[in-house]
Amino acid sequence: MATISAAERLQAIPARRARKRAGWLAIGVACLGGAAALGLFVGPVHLAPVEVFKKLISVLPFVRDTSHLSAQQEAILLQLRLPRVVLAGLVGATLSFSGAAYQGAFRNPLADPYLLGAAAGAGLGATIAIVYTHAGTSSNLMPVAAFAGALVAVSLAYALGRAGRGQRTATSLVLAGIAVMSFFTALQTYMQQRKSDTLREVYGWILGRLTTAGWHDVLLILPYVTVGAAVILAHRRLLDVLTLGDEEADALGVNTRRVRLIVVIAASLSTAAAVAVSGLIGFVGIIVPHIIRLIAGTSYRVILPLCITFGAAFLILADLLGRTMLAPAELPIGVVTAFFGAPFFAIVLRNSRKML
Amino acid sequence: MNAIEVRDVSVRILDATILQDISLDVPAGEWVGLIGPNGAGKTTLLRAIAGLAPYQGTIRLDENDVARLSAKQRARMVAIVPQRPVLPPPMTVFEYVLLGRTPYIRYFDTEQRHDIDVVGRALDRLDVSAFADRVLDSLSGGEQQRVVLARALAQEAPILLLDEGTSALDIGSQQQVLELVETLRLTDGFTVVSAMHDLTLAGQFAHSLALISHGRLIAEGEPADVLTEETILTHYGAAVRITHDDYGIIVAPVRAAGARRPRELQP
Repeated sequence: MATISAAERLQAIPARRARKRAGWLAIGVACLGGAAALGLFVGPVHLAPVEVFKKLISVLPFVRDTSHLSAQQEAILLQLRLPRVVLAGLVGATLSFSGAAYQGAFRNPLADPYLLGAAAGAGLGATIAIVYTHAGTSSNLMPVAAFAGALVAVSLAYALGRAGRGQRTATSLVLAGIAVMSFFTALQTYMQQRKSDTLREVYGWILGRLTTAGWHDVLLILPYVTVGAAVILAHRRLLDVLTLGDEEADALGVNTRRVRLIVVIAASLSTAAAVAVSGLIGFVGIIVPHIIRLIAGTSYRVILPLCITFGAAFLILADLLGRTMLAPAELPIGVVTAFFGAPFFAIVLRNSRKML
Repeated sequence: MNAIEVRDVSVRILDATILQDISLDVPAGEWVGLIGPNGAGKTTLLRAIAGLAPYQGTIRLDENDVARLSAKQRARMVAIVPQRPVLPPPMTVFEYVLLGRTPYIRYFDTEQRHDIDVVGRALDRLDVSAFADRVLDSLSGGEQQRVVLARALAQEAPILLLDEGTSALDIGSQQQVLELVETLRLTDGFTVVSAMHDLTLAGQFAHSLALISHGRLIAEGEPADVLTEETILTHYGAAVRITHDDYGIIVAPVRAAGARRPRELQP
């Protein structure tokens, strides 16, 4: 009898874990919903929550539009606030799950989405676009240039990241990323100093911005972000196996180099797309995954889905603070994520009894 | 039938020769101990057999060429317990042992009921079911060693490679783990190859021993033939006395001849 009950107890563990995951996911979705609602209601022009809700559900088929928003209010809601909230959510989710993916692929808790030089490459691309084009065209060109720059930097880091024996170890890749990052940052600084009249615009981009967010930005990054998230989520079990290190994961029949390559490509593509439209928003890719590790669990089956909901909610709230605190001026969102994220992270870290 | 056939295997890393022309047969269901001083190449030979180190020569597992097996097929045939296994601190025992099922799960799939049954049996066999929900960090050295063995057992591979897994344990835990391995070998028919530092334990548990020194196979055969006072002095530089009991050989280190002076002659 004792062995039967022990076996049943074990069979119950996956179901219990699934329930716990579902519980956290429900909390995450609720947070995301709350953050999105706040992002839509709050702003210089007051929009009544009920009217906003009526307007939003009228987008669905067979639902009549019964809202009483003026044309101007409707434009503010649908052309300004909604795309901005959606974009902040997409960027926050992307930076968070890419950060978690890098941390798993490199087995390094300090890895962030910019690890392999995506940020420096995007910065160089954006600076080139700002410095060498006319003011009117640069805003259209900037996302494309930043995206291209990020991909060039990551590819370069990957190509350089072969150690002496021709093997790409996690450490050799990280070191190659640092070399590429330093080189691209130097190039970027050189260009920006030569044309000091554009300094303000370049810095504005580097500190992160969602000010000009529109539906075209959302459409631009949506394919990359969706595919990247799907690929990384599909590898969540294998990322757990990778926590044993390459040697033991190989001994369990996992092709570690292939898994790492696929995960890194997916995370880099998504990050490049996010950086292209939002600039450099720091800290999200490190703190969101780690807060989830501390409160909800360390398996990537828990971390990755929660990164999407909590990451999105976090950045929507950060953007809300950024545009309301000094209104009508805007605080760069990168400043907000660090200013509120760092102390919050420190508190969670201090109060956690879990080992990372 | 041989579970493992090693033929003329050499391993070179950069310019260094780690193993040179090793040939070794391990009959199915037997326990072969690899002995030799530090850096002799014992770990590298185990890694080559598990398909983890590139080598020249041929290694066959149940008459299948290791080089032609897919990573998953290989992982279903041979489980390796490394010298210093990575034990992610916040992972629970259940989650850790479940990773042993990795070679049976398709790329995008997750574990099935059957996998959890196998894990349950492995936990029971090694008497660690009570810790299923504990995190790895909270276990003692001996408990951790049993959990690592449970993971290897969950792999359901007929060949078990142990890389001095017990050398960090106290002698009680060492004996307990090795007795567990012996029980598993007898009941489930495992073939065991273990690299061992403790020559007495090697002489007591293994059916045959292979002495490796400087990457070459020096001697192979019954423990009594391999463990002699001369070979141990030559290859380990150690002075020992060898005695026998019902289970096999006892190797006791003693002070070397030059350093040994009878007490009464000391000033």
